[in-house]
Amino acid sequence: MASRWTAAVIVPAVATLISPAWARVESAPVVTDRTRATLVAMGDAVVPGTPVPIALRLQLKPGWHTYWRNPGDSGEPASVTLHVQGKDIKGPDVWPLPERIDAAGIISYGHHGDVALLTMLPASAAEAGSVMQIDAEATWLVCEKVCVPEKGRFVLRVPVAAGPASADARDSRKPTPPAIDTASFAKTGQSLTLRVPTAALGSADGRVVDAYFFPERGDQIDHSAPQALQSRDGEITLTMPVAQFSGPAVSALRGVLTITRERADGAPRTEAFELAAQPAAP
Amino acid sequence: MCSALFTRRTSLLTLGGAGASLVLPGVAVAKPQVGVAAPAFNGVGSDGKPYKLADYRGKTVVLEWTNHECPYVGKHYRSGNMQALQKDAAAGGVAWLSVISSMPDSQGYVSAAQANDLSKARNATPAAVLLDSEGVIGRAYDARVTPTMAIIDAKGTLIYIGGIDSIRSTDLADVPKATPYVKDALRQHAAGQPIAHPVTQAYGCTIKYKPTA
Repeated sequence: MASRWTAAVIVPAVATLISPAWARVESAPVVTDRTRATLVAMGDAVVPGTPVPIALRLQLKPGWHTYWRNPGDSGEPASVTLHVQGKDIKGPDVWPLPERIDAAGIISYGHHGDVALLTMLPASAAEAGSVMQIDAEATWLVCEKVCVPEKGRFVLRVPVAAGPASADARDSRKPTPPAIDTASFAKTGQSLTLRVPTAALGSADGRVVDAYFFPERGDQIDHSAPQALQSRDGEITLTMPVAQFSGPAVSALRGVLTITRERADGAPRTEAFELAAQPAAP
Repeated sequence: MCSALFTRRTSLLTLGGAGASLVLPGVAVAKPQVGVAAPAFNGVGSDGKPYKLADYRGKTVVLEWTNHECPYVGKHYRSGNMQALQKDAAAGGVAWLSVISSMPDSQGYVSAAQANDLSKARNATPAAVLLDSEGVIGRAYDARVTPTMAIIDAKGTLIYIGGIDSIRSTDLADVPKATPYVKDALRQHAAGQPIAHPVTQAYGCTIKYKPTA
């Protein structure tokens, strides 16, 4: 099960992604003992000239999880291939916010519940008023105490709209948490330290009492090690051991930062940010 | 899945003291390092005999963490990849020790008799299968998934740790496409060459360890 704080993060993300407003064009399901999987077009119709997110929607039985783009210390991310108008498009491109999943101290990153993994279908020159057929195959791993690789083939027929998308429809298509681009990082042979200005963490009240960084790449930090939080002088720093298998130096460290604030009413509040940190000046 | 360890860690973090800095209750276990002495161990095999790393001075040793119900392990046994590596190892005088660190009643856990039957059933030929249901050997090597692979030279130095190959998947078709890290490392070591990739990223199923107190 997800810990209390990660559950707080995941609920709004899923609620935003799986809203009845767009879940109207959905493929026939692939159903296993653990999963109901469908392919879903986000919107009522494809709009010529506008990219369309296509979701692999995995509705998992309670207790089961699938994996984030960086699966952490076990598992693997889902893979999707869309075949549209003679082209192959690989995904997913957009994942929901990850949870930390702990198995006796080994940490993986993944998702429980109703999970939408988005593949961006590039703007097409589809003919207005026609129906676009999207064939897809996908593989994903689900785990509870044991892991089961699953796969499915999907066919989705999406009407092509006559007119341009409304601004409202466009805005609802790619929900993302607030971005932080003022962070920096420094990496030594042993540890990686992330520095984030407090000003980048939004205006909510309450001291930051917990923070966790989920790196997009799997070869930067030790996923199962604790991350040490310090806050001082208008910034928080988060220090974590590097991965034993340490990948090449990166020009930007990307990932998701979650913070938990202590609040007067005693209920901790967790927020998530998309973070891209630059190397600290030497 | 929410282990006692994690609950404790989370609660300590959340309740962190009055000061701005929090002390993390991290488990300070020295990690195995390539190039230095491999962690010593003292285990029991499925044949009932004791197995100590120190007994293998003068021989190259391979450690293979396994869980026969894990689909990533299944990929390497159903393709015959693991059995082929075990045969090559035996032919080259290398001692291959499979290690099962699943706790009782968890996936991959087997009794001694079941371990022996399993080796027969999957045509596996390790020199021994070490029954590590307390997770002591697994934790000492910081093994997190099955399969995790380690190679120790004749002097007891750890010379390789990581995955079996380069493609994180359960697809048998990926076995011939992957860079075979362990096969390459054993061949390079036997030829007196440096190991090209001495530390790699292991992939697979979490090892079903007994939770730490």
